Amino acid sequence: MTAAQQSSRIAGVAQRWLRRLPAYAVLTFCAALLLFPLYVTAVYSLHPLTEFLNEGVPSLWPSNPQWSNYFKSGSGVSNTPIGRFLFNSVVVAVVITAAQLVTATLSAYAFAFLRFPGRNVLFVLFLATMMVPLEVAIIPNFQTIQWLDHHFRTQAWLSWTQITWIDGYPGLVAPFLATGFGTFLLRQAFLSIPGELRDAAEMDGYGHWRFLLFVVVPLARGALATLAIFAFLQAWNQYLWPLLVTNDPDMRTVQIGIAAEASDVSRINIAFAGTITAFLPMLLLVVVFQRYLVRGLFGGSVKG
Amino acid sequence: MARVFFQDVTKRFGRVFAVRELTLEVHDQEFFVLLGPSGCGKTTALRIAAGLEEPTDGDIYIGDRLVNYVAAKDRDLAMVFQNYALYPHMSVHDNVAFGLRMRQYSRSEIDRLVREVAETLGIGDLLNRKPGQLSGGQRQRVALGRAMVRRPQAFLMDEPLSNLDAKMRVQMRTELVRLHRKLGATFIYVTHDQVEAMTMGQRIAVLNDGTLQQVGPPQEVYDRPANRFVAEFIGSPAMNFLEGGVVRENDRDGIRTPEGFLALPDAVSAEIRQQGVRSFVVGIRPEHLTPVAEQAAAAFEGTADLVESLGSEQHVTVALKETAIVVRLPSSPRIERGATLRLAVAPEHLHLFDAETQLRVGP
Ligand SMILES: Nc1ncnc2c1ncn2[C@@H]1O[C@H](COP(=O)(O)OP(=O)(O)O)[C@@H](O)[C@H]1O
Ligand SMILES: [Mg+2]
Repeated sequence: MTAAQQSSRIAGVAQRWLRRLPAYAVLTFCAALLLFPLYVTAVYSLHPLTEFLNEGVPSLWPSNPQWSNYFKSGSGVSNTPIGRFLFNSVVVAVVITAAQLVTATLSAYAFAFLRFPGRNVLFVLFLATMMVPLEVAIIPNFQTIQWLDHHFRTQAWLSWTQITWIDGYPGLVAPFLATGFGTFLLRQAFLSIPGELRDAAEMDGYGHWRFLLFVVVPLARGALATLAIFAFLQAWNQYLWPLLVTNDPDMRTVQIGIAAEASDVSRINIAFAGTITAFLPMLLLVVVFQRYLVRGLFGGSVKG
Repeated sequence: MARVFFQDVTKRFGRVFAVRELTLEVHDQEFFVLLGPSGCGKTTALRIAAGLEEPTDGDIYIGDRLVNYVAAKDRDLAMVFQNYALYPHMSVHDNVAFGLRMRQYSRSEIDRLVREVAETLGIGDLLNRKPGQLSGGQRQRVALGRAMVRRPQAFLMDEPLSNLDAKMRVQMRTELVRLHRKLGATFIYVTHDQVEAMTMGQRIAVLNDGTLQQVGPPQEVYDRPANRFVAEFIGSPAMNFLEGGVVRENDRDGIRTPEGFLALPDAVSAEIRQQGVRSFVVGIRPEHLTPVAEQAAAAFEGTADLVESLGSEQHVTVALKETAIVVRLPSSPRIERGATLRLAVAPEHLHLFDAETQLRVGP
């Protein structure tokens, strides 16, 4: 390669980068804008308390990092360790996720593979529930849980079960075990499985259950992963509902626990550390399963 | 015994009749072809036999057993689907073995059966691949293997070659015929391709709009189509049709069409007199039109409008006074566009159809 050729090639590469520069500038700016609060939280979580008590805005640089903040957390009001909050959140999120996978798989299978009267009407009804915001349903849901709680406490034929609805896991998870969104997402994925496969399996003696287990689930694993992540993220980040159905600090989820901590000014840095702690599992989840998040929402996740 | 018998079978989807009062007997060990245009109910008929679809009315027998209420898996049939229906997430081996897993075979026995079938079909070295890594022809073989491995009494095939390229299709055609001979099972083969039907079927049934049109050996259906639909559907290039009425000219009965007079064989004219049919559609196959020199011997005269040369033969579209007809000629002498052609047809090669009922008239 001659020097002239080489320099013209370099010029070409430079030109290409120059053309992309405006786009990258905009993207970088947006990313910075979105990440800034996260950065601030991370920095604040490392400050000593004195940093917040001084005049003026706390520094945007961790000049004196206090890693111990991460091990001191525990609500100032109740002395509940953050580990307990995290544990509660994990239980709630795992149960909700598992339940949604099961319920959505079953209902989506019915809508995709079974013929029954009223199928379309019923499906539209399922879709309609997606239009109802959580805040609208929250009061009736709360009343239902209260009603259940009351009866489970007072009626002998129920109370032996020891199920507690208020201040208990059942109440925390009950409204989220099945969703229209999950059914919708999986139905779309199942519909892209050719009906011929069902026929072939039927000729081979595989009933609906076995077909679901051996063919549908493996083929729709992308969509199932997407649903799992969404369900988990949503369950993890819940605030209003857990606040409503728990009074006992031991039953609070991590978001509520942190909020309680933040209300105590003398523990503000520890609240920031708790926020980061609560955020890390989600970050990990999103990074690892990123492709399912994107692909599951924007296109055929089954074709392979 | 694996004859398959449809008795008065009707299938309705809402207001659509997919199959109408179909009565049909497929003999034991026969290669039987269901032929018809797209949407005529072939797939539905096959699915009813398979047990994947319940008939609205009528009975299905396999052997001498009424199977209306027998589940698909218990009918001892195997189906080969149009799009192969292979499980994309399973290896070729597992695809073929899938049906055996439900039938209490031991693992080593399954392995042996799969290997045996794979050898027969020449896919022995593909067993560890996934369907996505196979060519169309290979997938087709896997689909066949999956059907064969259970040794069913009858195979139901729904346009199994329609997704292959032309060359592969011709090759698989002969392979399927050979396989049928080897397995000694009943084959019911669905296709819309009349060439497949003619070349493979021992008998064919032509369907149109859910209704059975004709059943018989391919040559018989070709030589004596029962109605105008069958006549038009079978044969390529398609049969030419001309309308006309019976007249008597020069002491001979014949059909007067807008394009010329066509003398009829005596046997036919006698039958026509008896039946009292007045107006006809005359069908002439392109290969039965022959060029002649003198005008007196010719039934039609026209100019060559389009010449399609296929190498071994040529198809010439001849423009007559009002319509055009297609003639199939040897490749030489080569016909030039615009040339005048005089065409004759032997009386015994005329197909007559009642213009009203569209049914065949005469022998
Ligand atoms: N599941 C179904 N629901 C409604 N109509 C159907 C169904 N299956 C087939 N049909 C109709 O029945 C007719 C025959 O279809 P089919 O048997 O698939 O024809 P072919 O296989 O000959 O192309 C068509 O008009 C088709 O639209
Ligand atoms: Mg079909």
